[in-house]
Parts: sequence; structure tokens; C-alpha cells
Amino acid sequence: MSEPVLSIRDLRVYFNIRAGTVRAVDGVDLDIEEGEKLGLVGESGSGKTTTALAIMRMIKPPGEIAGGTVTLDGRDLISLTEPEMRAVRGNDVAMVPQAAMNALNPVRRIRSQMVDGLRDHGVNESRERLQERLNTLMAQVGLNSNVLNLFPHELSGGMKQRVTIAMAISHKPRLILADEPTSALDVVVQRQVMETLEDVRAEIGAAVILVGHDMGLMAQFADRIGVMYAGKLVELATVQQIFANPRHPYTRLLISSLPDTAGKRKLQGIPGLPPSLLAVPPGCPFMPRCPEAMPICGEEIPQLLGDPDLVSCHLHSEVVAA
Amino acid sequence: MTATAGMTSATSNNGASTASLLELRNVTQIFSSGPIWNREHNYAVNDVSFTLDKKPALITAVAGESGSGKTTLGRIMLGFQRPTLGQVLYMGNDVNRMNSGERKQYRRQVQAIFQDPFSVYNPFYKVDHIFTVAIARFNLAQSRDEARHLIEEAISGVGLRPSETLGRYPHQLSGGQRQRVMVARSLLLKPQIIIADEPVSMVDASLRATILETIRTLNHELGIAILYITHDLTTAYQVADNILIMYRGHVVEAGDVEHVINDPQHPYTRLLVQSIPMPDPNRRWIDMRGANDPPFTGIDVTQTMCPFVNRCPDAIESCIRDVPESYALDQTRIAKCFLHEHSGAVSDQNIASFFNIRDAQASHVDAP
Repeated sequence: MSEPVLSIRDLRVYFNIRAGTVRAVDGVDLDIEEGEKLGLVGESGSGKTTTALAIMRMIKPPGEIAGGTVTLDGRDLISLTEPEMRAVRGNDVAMVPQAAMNALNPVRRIRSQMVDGLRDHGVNESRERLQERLNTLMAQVGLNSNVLNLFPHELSGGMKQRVTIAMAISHKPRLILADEPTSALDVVVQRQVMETLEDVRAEIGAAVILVGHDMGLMAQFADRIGVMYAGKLVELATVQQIFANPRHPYTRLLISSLPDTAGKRKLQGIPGLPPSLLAVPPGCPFMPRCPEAMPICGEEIPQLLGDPDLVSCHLHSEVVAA
Repeated sequence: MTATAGMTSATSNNGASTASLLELRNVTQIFSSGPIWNREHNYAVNDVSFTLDKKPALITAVAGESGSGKTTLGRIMLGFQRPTLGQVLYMGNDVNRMNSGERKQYRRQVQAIFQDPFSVYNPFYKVDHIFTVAIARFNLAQSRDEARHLIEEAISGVGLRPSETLGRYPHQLSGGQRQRVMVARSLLLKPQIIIADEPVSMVDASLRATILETIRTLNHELGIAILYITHDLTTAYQVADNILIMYRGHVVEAGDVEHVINDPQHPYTRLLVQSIPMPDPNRRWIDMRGANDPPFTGIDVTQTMCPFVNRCPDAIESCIRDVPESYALDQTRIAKCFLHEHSGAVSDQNIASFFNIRDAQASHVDAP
């Protein structure tokens, strides 16, 4: 099998606050293959966005990467110096932010913001070549090149999100991190933006990590899905497997809580709340809410096991052990 | 027009439509902007008539993209916004001409649940505050104990434990809990109508189901009529009995939610339904790239055209000449589209007259 593009081992991100240490990401292992589309889902506070930010090394104090490795094409990003990491951002890993309106500078035209991104990463070309490059990028995301002359407020939400996609692909990165790129958009526009993202991804052959909590969007886009809960990855499997045969009780409850349009039924949420990350109880973090909890769940943290689909649940540990 | 409308309101007060709680009569809301010599008029709501009834009390969804006017419609029904044209009647009384006593009743009976469960709270007060203010304002309790009892009852009614909720500050509760506390506040006032504007769009999927189920229970068991404003057609389908699809202020399609979503007739509804990200990897979006461009793409849409003409793949000549009327496709469905002109224009402007009435199996017990 080929080397994964990105390999995360035992990643831990802690926030040291007055009340103690918040273990936002606590021992995540993850491999992403070349050109793969991975969905990272979980409720707010599960650590999905923090994981993505840690890959970019953009965790701000009081947060810190407390341990683990993030290897991109054989290079450990955690041990890079800040200037070295700066060269990686944008060139090798790029981010499509959640709120495009906040990601763009309101008082500068799209052109100058895009030129900044190019120049900052060593593109030193003539005006004409640069213009050509910008026109190509705009065409790739389905925008007219006169959008370059506009200010962000003159664009619709979908157009702004396309601009951020154009910025993200401008250096043909190996990996694109998209953090809920369409959560502020309407369904029709959402679909168009996701199709654009898929088109450009296929064109440059990048892998994508799509972070979000919209399982519908994940089903539409992802090849594999990683489910996070309380800072840990609890299940990692193909999208088909996750929806047809979810193995972790949390994933199962999450899938069954989703509304669809094939007949009305009683909507069932997941009772209870995720544990405080300041003091995660011993054992499985989902145990207090789990309808299938057993005595062992309160004592021992289940390992993420299986091949190739992974799950961390004592209900499934014997299958792997056998 | 205003004069006659005033008279009809008086007559309906005397009987005719006693079942109707809240009625919109040809409501139009125009937002104007720009300098006076070059005024732009944006029709946020364009000639909408419909009613929320008491018997039976139904759940009606209003769906559409941002800017479609769905939130404005809700604000008009809540009395936060005085429409440019038309009337809003509560129990037959024009809400913009009520005296203070009537208005207070209306305010109590028509409650709101908003999208953002963070900004509706004052962070300096404990969550109890939103209950105690309401109790004091409407004299709901004679003593502290009675007030406490009412609050606990309301909180239990939405599936929260009073001991874990009361006495806390908003930041100590999760988003889902805060949103349910807002539902509990509405419940405390025992309203006739709840207008919920995107109540679950900022809440996690696992809690979304619980909140929607709570809203459904309020309707089924307490007989509270609910207007559910959303952009999410899957939750609208699960929760609502009927649905209005809005586009640029027009109700372009309306009727029984089962039919509208699973057999959409207006091209805009069709586009919306096709864009739903279904939580099923075997039902992915159909590739529509490369499909024919809409025939009138790029046209400047004016008030005398179908509002959807520039995006409509099925547009015909009529669509740029005139605004389509609402045509009745069957007993429980209307569509504002020339493709259905042969069905004949509706005689009754009231959209609710095309609603499917759910079997009133659920007992309409009044709250104790």
C-alpha cells in the first residue's frame, strides 16, 4: 500500500486554563491516503476542528500541542520551526475556513488579497503571468474573473466561499482542510460549493479532510468518515459502512437521529451530554450516555481496533482479539 | 383598501372565521433602500394570505433560502414588523390597532423561539430570570412557591431536570439546553401559537431531534399551533403537517408536506429538494452540471415577472410577461407557476385552505 499523505499518531491538544487542563484532542491516530476524502464528524467540543487546526499548527494559547506526531509526506510537522511551518501552510496544506465573510479582508479587493497569498509563498511573476494565473483559479472555481475587481461585500456567500477555495488551491496543496465550508449557505448554494470543491480537488489530486457535523453532507462527499467524541476518534470506516452498519453505539444513535424524507417517524435524540473535557471520567467517555454500557466500560478505555474499519468499543473488542 | 379591510376585520370578529387564531390578509412587506431619486424596493413578503387555526392546531413549516422572506413573515406574525400593505389579525383584531390590554394578550398568546440560543439571554442573569420576568409581567403566580412550581413544570415539560437547570447562568448550559429553556419559557405562558425561527440550526444533530420532538409534543398534546421557519427541508418534513415554500417574498408552492417534498411541482421546490444532502451515501446528488442553462439566465427580474424566471430551467414566454397566480393542483396543493396554469387559479387566497388537516387523534388537552 502506498504511503499515506498524512499520518497522525497519538495527537494530543490540551488547553491549560485556570480550572485545569482541557483535553480537547486526546490521543488521535489517523491516516489519510492520497486523494482521499475524509469526513471528520462530531458534536461541538468533540475536538474535530481542534484536530484540523493542530495539523496546520494553528492552535492558539492557552492551547498547545501536548504530544504526538503529524507527518505530511514523511515530514513531521510538529518538529518544524515556525518559518518552516509557514512555508508548509498554503503550499502543502491549505484551509478552507468556515465563515468566508470573516476570512476575507473587507476593505481590500479580491485581487489584492489573492496576489498577497501568491507572493507570500514566493510566486514572483510578471503582472501578466499573475493575472493569467488568477484568471485560471477563478475559472476553476466557476467564478468570472471580474470578481477579482470586487470587494468582499459585493459577493454573495457562495461566491465568497468559492474565493476562499480558489485561495486554498492556488499552490496545489497535497491536503485541503475544509472546516464546515458550507454551514452558512443555503442548500442550493451549498451543493454548488461542494461540487466546486470536489472538482478542484480531483483536478489537483489533493486529499480533503471535511470537518463538520452535518451527516447529510458527509454522506454526499466523503469516502471515509471518522467519528469523534470527547477528544477521541471512536469510529473510522468507509462512508457506506458508517451509514449501513455503524458499530459504535454513539455513531448508531447519531445516524438514527438524522431526519430524512422517507416517511415520518419519531425523532430520537441522544440523551445526556458529552463529558466535561476538564475531567473525563475513567473508561469509555460515552459510557454515561450509552444504552449498551457494560461494567468494563466504566473501568477501561476501549482501544481503536479493527482492519480496515476501526471502532473503539468494548462491544467489538472480542471480534478483533479473536 | 384599508377601509374595507377594517370592515371585514370587524365582521370576522363576529363569527365567520372563529377557528382562525392568527390571520395574514394580503400582507406585503417592502423594504426600501437607496437615495430617494433612485429608490430600490425589495418585496420581502409579496401578497401572502394565510391563517394559523386553533382547531385543529397544526404545524406549518416555512422554508426557503436566505432572503426569501421567511423570517420577515415570522416577524410580521409576531407583531415585530408592521407590514407595508395588508393586515395581521389576531382573533379577528388587527394587531396594529390593538389597545394595550389586547396587545398584551396577543403578546402572551403568540410566542417566539429564535435561532440563536446564545444571544437571547442576558449573560448577567441566571436563566431563572427569563421565567420570573414573564411570570411577573403576566401575573401568572400569587406566591414565590407557585412561581417556582410553574417554572419547574415548564422545564420538566421540555425534558430537562429543574435541579440541573435553574440557578445557573446561561454559559453553564449547553446550546441544546439553552434552546430547550427557551421552549420551556414559551410553554410557561401556555400560548396558542409558537413561532419558531430556525430553532435547531445552531444545535448539534444529537440534540436537534430532541428539540424538534419537544416542539411536536407541544403541538400534539397541548394543541399549540406552530409556525416552523427553516431552511432545512428534512426537519420540516419530519415535523410539519404543511409547508410553504418561499422565494423572493412569494409563496411559490404550498400544501401537504408529504406531497410538496416528495413530489415537488414548482421548479424552485424541485431544485431545493434535489439539493438536500440526504444522509445516505447511496442517494448522492444527481449531477446537474452540464444540464441546459435556464432560458432566461441573466435577465433583470422585475416585479412583473415570475420571481424565479432567471433561474428556472422550465421557463416559458409567459414567465417574463407576467407574475403567475397561485394555481390549485389539487385539494391540498398550490403552485405559483405558469406550468400549472391549466389547473385554474385559486379562488380562496388563504393558503391554509389548501392545508392537509391532520387526523386529530391527538387529544387537545388544555394545559393544566
